[in-house]
Amino acid sequence: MSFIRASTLVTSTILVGGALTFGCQPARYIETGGTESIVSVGQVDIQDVRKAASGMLQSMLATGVLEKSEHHPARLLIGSIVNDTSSQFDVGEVIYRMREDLVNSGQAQVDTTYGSTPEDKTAQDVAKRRAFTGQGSSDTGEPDFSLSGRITQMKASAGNMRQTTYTFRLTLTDLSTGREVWTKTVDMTKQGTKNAVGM
Amino acid sequence: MPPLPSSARRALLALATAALATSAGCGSVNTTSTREAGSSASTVKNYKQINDLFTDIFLHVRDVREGRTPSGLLSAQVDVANDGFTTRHFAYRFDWKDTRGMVIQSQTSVWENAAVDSGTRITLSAIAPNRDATDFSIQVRRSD
Repeated sequence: MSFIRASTLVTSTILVGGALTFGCQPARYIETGGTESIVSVGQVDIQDVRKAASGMLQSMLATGVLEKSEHHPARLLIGSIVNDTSSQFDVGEVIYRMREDLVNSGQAQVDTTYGSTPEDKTAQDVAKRRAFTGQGSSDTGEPDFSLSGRITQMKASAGNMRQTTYTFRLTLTDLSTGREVWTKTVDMTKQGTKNAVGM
Repeated sequence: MPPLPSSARRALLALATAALATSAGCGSVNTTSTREAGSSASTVKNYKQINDLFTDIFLHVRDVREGRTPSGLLSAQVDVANDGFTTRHFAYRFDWKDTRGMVIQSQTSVWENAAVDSGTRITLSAIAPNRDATDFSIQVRRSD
């Protein structure tokens, strides 16, 4: 009888202790991509996306390549960005962050109505209708640049330790010459045995 | 226990000193440069607010330089030195400000990770997001 009572007491203590240890972490907001973010060894995190976009942006701005275009602001076409990693995420997250700074600061304009699969089909339909009725804008110049890229990964492990390097590559092609005028590679390596909180 | 002879004490002391020197210098890096630290013409005066003394003891922000890119954007370089005995991991973020001191919201202002080996210094670089940026600040936070 006393054995049963003792075992019940031990079990209760473990359960209460477990609840206190694991259950006392209420949900809260943190800074997106901040130093409290979860770091995953085997997948791309939001902070990786933000760092990649930041590195790409700074490189592109440093070269001043957009200012050498025929049009000001430069006209940009977003080409294909291939995700060659095992991590499922929208590669547009990187590009949209770059676009935000480039477009809102007046350094570039993105053509969202170009091609057979435009980003904004409605805008393309309106533009086509206006062009047909002669009400379209006379400013129908071709884009200056096309942005394309690829995201790849390299994995390594030693014992329980796992390491993944994600490589973000972007290339800007001058559409008047068909030649690459800017390219940038941003690497991000994460190492650990399991995911963790904090950078 | 009988006291050790003086020769044995000297040998033990030498052994302890050698062990301490070896462990303290393990993984540390010695660097030779042709330029004295802080001698660049683009070095700018900087002000520090220290909230984590432990970090500042070993991880020093040394030189702060600024310049302009060919396209006229402000560029910043900050040298961070590690005077500790182990590799230090830290996070940092550049914030850009306009002439009125207002922070410019930009996708370039993100927390980045870096590591600096014992006895070495690394240079953190950043480019301003647009021409409105005339000043910057950097936050450093240790990760280990």
